Amino acid sequence: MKHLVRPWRRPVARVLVLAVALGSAPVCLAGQPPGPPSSPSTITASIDKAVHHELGQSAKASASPATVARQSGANAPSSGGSFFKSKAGIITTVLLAAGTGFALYSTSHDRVKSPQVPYGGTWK
Amino acid sequence: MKKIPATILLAVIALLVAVGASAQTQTGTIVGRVADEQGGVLPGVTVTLTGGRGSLTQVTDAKGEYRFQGLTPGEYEVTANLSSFAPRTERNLEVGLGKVLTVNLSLKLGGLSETVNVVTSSSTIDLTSPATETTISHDLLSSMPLNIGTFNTATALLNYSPGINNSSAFGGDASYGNALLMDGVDTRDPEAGSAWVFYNYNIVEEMQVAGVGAPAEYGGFSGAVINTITKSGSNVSHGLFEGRFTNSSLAGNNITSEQLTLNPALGQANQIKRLTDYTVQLGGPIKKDKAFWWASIQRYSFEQDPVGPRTKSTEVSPRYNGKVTVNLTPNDVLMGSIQYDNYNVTGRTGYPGTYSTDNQTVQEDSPETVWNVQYRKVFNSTTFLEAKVNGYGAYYNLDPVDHSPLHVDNDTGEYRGGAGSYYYAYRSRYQANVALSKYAEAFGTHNFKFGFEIERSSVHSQSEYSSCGSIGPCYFIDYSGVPTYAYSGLNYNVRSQNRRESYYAQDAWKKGRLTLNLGVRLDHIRGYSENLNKTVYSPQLAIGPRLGAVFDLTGKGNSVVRGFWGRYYEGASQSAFANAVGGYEDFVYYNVLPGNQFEEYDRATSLIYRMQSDPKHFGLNDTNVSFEQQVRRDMRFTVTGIWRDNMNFIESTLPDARWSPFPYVSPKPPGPTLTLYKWANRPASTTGSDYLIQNIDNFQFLDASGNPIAATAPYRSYRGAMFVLTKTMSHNWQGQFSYVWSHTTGNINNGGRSGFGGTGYENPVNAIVNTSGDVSNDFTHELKVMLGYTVPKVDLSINTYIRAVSGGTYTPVPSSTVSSRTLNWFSSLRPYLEPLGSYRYPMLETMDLRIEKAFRYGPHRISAWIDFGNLFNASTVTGVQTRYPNRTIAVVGGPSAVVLYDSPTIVTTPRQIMIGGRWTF
Repeated sequence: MKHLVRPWRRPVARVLVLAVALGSAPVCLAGQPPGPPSSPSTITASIDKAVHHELGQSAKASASPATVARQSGANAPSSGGSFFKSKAGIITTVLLAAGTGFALYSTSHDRVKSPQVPYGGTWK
Repeated sequence: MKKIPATILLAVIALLVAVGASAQTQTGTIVGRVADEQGGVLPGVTVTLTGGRGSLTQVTDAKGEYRFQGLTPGEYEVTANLSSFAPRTERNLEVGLGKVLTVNLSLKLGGLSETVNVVTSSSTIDLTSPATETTISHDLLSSMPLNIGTFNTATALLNYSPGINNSSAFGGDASYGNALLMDGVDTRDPEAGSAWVFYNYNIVEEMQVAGVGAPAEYGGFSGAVINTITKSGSNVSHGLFEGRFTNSSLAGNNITSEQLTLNPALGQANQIKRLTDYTVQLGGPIKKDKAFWWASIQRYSFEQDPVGPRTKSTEVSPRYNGKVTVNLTPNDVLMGSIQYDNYNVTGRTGYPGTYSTDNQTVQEDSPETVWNVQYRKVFNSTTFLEAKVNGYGAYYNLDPVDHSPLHVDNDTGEYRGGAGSYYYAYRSRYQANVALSKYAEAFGTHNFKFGFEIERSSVHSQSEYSSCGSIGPCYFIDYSGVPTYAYSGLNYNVRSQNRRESYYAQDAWKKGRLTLNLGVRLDHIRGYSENLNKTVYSPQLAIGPRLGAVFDLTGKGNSVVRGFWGRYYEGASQSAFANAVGGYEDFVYYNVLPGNQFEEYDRATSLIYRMQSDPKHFGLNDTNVSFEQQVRRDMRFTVTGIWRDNMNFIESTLPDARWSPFPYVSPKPPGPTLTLYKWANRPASTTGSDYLIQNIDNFQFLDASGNPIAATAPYRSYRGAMFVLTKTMSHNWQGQFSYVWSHTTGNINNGGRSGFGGTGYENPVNAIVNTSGDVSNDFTHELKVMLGYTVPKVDLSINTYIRAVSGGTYTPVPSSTVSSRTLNWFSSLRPYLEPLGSYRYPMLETMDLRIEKAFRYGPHRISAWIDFGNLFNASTVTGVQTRYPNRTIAVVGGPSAVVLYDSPTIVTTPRQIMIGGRWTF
C-alpha cells in the first residue's frame, strides 16, 4: 500500500495532494495480498469521494459523525444546545413545532371514534 | 516525536470482510488484529473506537487482537496507539445489523500519525453464517421508489426481497407466517400472526430480511423474519424533514374497455385520489457522550377510490416516535423508546370484501402504543449481554356505517344491506428477552450465544351481527332477492392468552476455513382461555435444531459454500386453539315467513371444541445449499437452493362423523362428475365434544361402513432456486438483480391462515375434493431488479425498481352452492370444480422510477424527487370472478352487473406520480 504524507494546512492544497495521492495509490484489499493498481475509473470515483470528504461534504445524506465531530465552521451541525442557536437549528425548531402541532391537531380532528372504547381489555 | 496531524486519503478500497452471524440482536461487532509492517502481531496496543455516542478503548491481547461488541449499527472510526509507533486511524467503518466487521491495522515505527478514510466496498461475504438474507439500509429505503402509493406497513418492504411476493415468503402463509420485529418487539397480531403495528419507513435505520438458514435465536415464523432497528440520537444533531404528495390528477387509468365490458364494477378501480405524508425528525445529544435523544412525528393521509363498487376509502395516521439512549458507563447502555399512533380508516370493506358497496363498509378506530426498554452490558472483549423488556397495547374497532342487517343472495351472489356486523379487537403483547454472547477459543474459535425469552400476549375479540328485529342479531340468506333464511347468533366475546417461554443456544465454531453452525431452540407454548379459566392448548415442547456449515473455498474470503438444515416452529398464536376458547353464542337457523316472521328450524349449540391433549406445534423443515462468490470488490453473486416442507398441520375435525358419497355434476364443462359427501350419521344436535382440534397428519374421513374414503395426508412443499447479484455503490451506480424459480404445491393452501387452526377438515368437501395442486401463492418465475445511478457533478440520481413475477393461481367454484340440506351440513358449500390452482393469473410486469435532484450545503442535503409508480401503466389482472358461470356484482350509479366467470375483478394499481422533497443533515 502506497500513501503520501504531507503536512499541508490549506484545504485547496490538501485536495491537490489528495488527488496526487489517490492517483498513485493502488487498490488494496484487506485480508488479501496487495494487488495491482486500481483501474482509473475506480481511482476517479475514489478521488471524488475523497475530495468531497475533505471539503466537509459527504456522499451520504448525513455526514460521518466521527468526522463531523472534527469539523469546524458555521455549516457543521453542532452538538448540544449550540445547535438550536444556529440558523439550521432555528429552522429545525420551527419545522418541528409546525409538524408536531398539525399532527396533534389531526390526532383529534381526524379521529374515527368508535362508540365503544376498551378499558383494560374490556368494552364498556 | 511530534505528532503532526495529517490527513491522508488513500484510494484504498479496503475490503472489510463482514463475518456475520445473522442475529435477532440489534447490534454489530468490530474485530481486528494490529500488526507491524512486517506482519508481526502487536500486543498492548491501545485501540480506541469512536462513534456517534462516544468512545470505547481496549488493549490488544497477546495475539494483537481486539474486539468491540454490542455496537449500535452506524459509522465508526478506529484508532491504534502504541509508543514508538505512528498512530493510525481508519474512518467510515460501517457496522451493520448483526454483522461482524474485521478491521486489521498495520502500524509503522515512528513517523507521523496516519488517518485512513476507508472507501468501503461494503459488498462483503459472510464467512461464518449459513443464512441467506437481505439487508435494506436507510440509504436504499430513502433513494429507491419503494414508497409509492399506499405503502405504510413493514410487510410492503418484505415483498421487495427475493423469494417473497404477496407477503408469502418461500411458500409460507401470506401475511401470517412472517415474524415482524421492530427493535426486537414482535409487532404481529397474537390472534393469527398478521401485521398489527405499522410504522414510518423514515424511522428505520436498517432492515434485515432473513429466514432461510436462520440460526436458533430466530423463531416464531414459518415464512421469513423482518428484523428492523430504528434510528437513535448521537453526539451530533441529525434531522430529517420530508414531505410527499400525489392526487388523482397525477394518476393514470389502466382499466381497458375490454375489462370494463367484462366487469362494469371495475370503473375507476383502485385510484389514489390524494396522498399527503410528512415527517419531521430530529435527534442529538442531551449530554455529550452520555445521553442522547431522538424524536419523529409523521402524519400520513390517504384517500382512494378502491377497487369494486366502493367509491371512497380514507386513512389518516398521525404517528409519534421517541427514543432516549443513556451510556451509564462506556460499557453499559440503556435505551428506552416509544411509538404511539392512531390509525383511522373509513370505507374499509365489510363482510362482502371487494364486492362491498359504500353502505357495506366499516370505519376503523385503531390506536396503539409500542414500548421498548433495552439494556446492554459489555463485560469484556469476549462477553456481551443484552436484555429487553418490550411490548405493545392496542385496540381495533370496526363499526358499520349502515347498521342494517346484511343480505347474501345465494342465487345471484349479490350483497345488500349494511356490513352486517361490528368487530372489536383488543390486543396486548409483553415480552422479555435476555441473551448472552460469548467468544471463546478452543479447537478453533467459537461465537456462542444463549438466550431466553418470555412472551405473554392477549387476544380479546368481540363481534355481533346487526339487529334483525325480533330475533336479534342476524344476517339473511336470500334467493333471487327473496329473504329465505335468517342465521342468528354466533356472536362472540372471546378472550385468550398466548404464553411462551423460549430457550436457545447456538455456536458458530470456526476451524480453519470451515465453520459449523450448531444450535437448538426450544419453544414451550400454551394457549389459555380466559372464558374457561384454563389452559386449552398445550403442545409438545417444540424442539428446533439448526445445523449449518460454511466452507471458505479459497481461503481468501471471496468464495464460500453453505449448507443448512433446520426446523422452525410458528409463533404462539390463538388461531391454533380459537375454537377451544369458548365465548361463542348458539347459532340458530330460521325460516323467514311472510310478514317478517321467523320460524326456528335448527340450532347449533355454542360449541367449545375439544383439543388434542399434546399436539405438535405447526412448523416446517428447511434445507438449503448455496454458493456465494465475490465477483469484484463491489459485486457478489449468490445462488441458493431451498427445500421447505411444512409439518404438524392443526385443524378441527369431526372424528366420529361418517360420510356418504354422492355424484355432483360440475356446471363447468367439460367438468368431470365430482364425488361429494353427505354427513351420514349427523346427530340431532351437535356438541363441542363432537369436534376435535388435532394434528391431521394421520386423519382419515370414513364412509358409513367405517372405511377410509381417500388418502388425506396433508402437505405443503416449496422448492426454489434463487440467484442474486448485488453491486454496491461505485462508479456512480448500485443495484440488485434477482431471479427466483419456485414451485409450491400442497393440499393445504397458503392464501391465509390454513393448516394452523382452520376448519377445512371438518367436512371432506372442503378437505379432499380437488384440494391438491398448486397453491394460491405459487409464483413460478420472479425477476426483481433495483438499479440506481447518480449523474456525477449534477447530483441527479435515477433509481428504478423493475419486477416481473408469474401470476398466482386460482380455482373455479360453482355460482350456486350445494345446499346445506343436500350435504346434511350446517351451511351450503362451494366445492372446487377443478384441482387446486388449475388456472394462473398473467405475469405481472411493472417498473417504478424515481428521479431525484439533490443540493448540498456542507452537511445539509436538500433534494426533490418525482416518483413514477407503474411507469408504463400496466393493466395486469390480479383477481378474477371465480364463480362459474357468473356472479351478480353491484355497480355504482347503475344496475347490478352479471359478471361472467374469469372476468377481472382486481387490476394492478395504475400509474401514479408522486412528488416529494427532503432535507437531511
